[in-house]
Amino acid sequence: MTLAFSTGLDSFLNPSEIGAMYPFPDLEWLFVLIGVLMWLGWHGLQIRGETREEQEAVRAYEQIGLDRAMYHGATGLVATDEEWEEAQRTESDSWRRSGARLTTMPRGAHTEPPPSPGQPTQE
Amino acid sequence: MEDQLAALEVIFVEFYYWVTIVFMFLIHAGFMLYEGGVARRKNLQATVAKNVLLIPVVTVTFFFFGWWIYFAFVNGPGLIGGIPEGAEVMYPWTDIMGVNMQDRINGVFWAAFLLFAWTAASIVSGSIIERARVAGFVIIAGMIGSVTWIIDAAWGWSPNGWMVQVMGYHDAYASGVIHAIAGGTALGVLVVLGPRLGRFRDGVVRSIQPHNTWMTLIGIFLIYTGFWGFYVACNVPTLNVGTDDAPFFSATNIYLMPTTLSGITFNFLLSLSGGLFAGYVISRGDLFWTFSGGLAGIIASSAGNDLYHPMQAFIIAAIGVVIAYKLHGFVERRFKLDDVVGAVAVHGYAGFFGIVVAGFMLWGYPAAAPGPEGDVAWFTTPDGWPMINPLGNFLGAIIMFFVLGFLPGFVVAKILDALGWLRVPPAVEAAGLDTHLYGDGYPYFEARETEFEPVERAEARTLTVDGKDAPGAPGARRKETPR
Repeated sequence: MTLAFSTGLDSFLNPSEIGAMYPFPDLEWLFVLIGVLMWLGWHGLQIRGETREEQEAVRAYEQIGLDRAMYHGATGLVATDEEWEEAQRTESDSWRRSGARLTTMPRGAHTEPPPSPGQPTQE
Repeated sequence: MEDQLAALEVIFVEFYYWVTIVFMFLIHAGFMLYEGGVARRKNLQATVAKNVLLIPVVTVTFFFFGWWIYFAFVNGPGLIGGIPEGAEVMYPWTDIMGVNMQDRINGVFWAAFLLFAWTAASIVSGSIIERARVAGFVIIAGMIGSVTWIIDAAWGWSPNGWMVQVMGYHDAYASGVIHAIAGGTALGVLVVLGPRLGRFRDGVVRSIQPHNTWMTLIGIFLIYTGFWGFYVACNVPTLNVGTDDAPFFSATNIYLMPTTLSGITFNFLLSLSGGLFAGYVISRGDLFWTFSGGLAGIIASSAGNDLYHPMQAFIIAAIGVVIAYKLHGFVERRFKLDDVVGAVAVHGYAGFFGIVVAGFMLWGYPAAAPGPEGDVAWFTTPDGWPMINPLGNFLGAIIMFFVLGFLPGFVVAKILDALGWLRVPPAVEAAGLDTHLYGDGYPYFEARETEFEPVERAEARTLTVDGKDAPGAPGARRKETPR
């Protein structure tokens, strides 16, 4: 019984007469076309997804301020209300382990403290 | 294959190139560690994402059109002839672009060239980390990996390429066709992209510390290791370089001119050593630049490492590293160019230097046998073959660095910038590219900042769009601040 679905290649007894061995020969153009669409589609998805993500991040940072967002460094954690009030009161810049997730950070504008000056390390 | 000896030869060549591909994967493992280590913790995963996503983009586009370009563009096309007959077999829908009992080598050659393409794109990647968008970078990666680099390979890295046949261009291990073009592309993109926030604030050049120097140095060592595969892939393992009547089998370079695996092994290690010495001395013991010097040393000698004496390779490497290092510092201070890993210097300047030097050092050697277009060379050997010469290699260096490197990089970066796809918004950059999107790469380690990060945030707050404070806007630009 023949079960060949695609290639017509049902024997390896004459290898010198065999050319392409993959399924569905003569439909290569279709696979290439699908591949091109996947490639271009991926770029579109990446651009849209990244843009959306950046816009969300910017909104979050504008609401809470960069210094508060970075209170725990680049950990995705922001200072809780209590931590931030304490930091404002004591002007502490020590890093802490606890905090709220950035995606659930409290909303509301606040005033950022003045930045500390960076030290030149290379003239 | 019915002849066992012929079959063994074919399978040897097939396996030879296949092994080079495996080795060249190490280059990319190295690039990932190298760039990931240089990036700060808050940008680590975005950096790694950029490294890994260039792989599918360049691979699939190299399948679609990159490989065809290599065979189709050797004549310019149009400079010394049209598109050669036979290039059409490299269309992505032909039956040798897959498993085929009548072809055993096409996919292996394709992959070896593809790994060069990844390398070219990865070189650009490192220079623009910590502020470039992944979406924009992968478009640049597709451009250099599957268009511009493979055009330069068709022109100057093929025995019948018009630059070889007309100009006598010689670049055996890709000082120009990979490194100078990638360095030039990085420069073009960097000019548009601009420096990281705070890097040149208030007239001060601030260094930004890598988050893991150890990881970076291991990465460069892995690149050295992968370079073995890169070098060997630039050779043909065995070919009759004699005549039909008096056959003489030898390894050859990419132009099918004789060299030996022994010779290039000497030269690879001596150029690495010359670069390491020079990098260590010129940077006064800075390990990042010592390791980078090793890389730049290899690159500076690569154009002629098929023929140099090992001591020539050693000396040329050392000189190339000094020039590249000094130029890097000058350009950084003078033009405020923030090349994070020094890729423009290590690959671009050292590669350019390497091509020019090879033109002088190898002046008079045959560049290749005459191609199907006949005698079109500016300078020929007594046998009538295209001759390596300083003019051809100098112009070739300009073509690689500026024409196929800088210009496309600059133009595409301008377009991406106009679309808002090139650079992340300043607030995202200051907070870190990972912070909102990928999360912390080291969740079990306590976070710290250096004294630089507050400066970076301060600069983010000075950014405006149309005169209004807008640190988060994609098109935000720095206010003019008094110095």
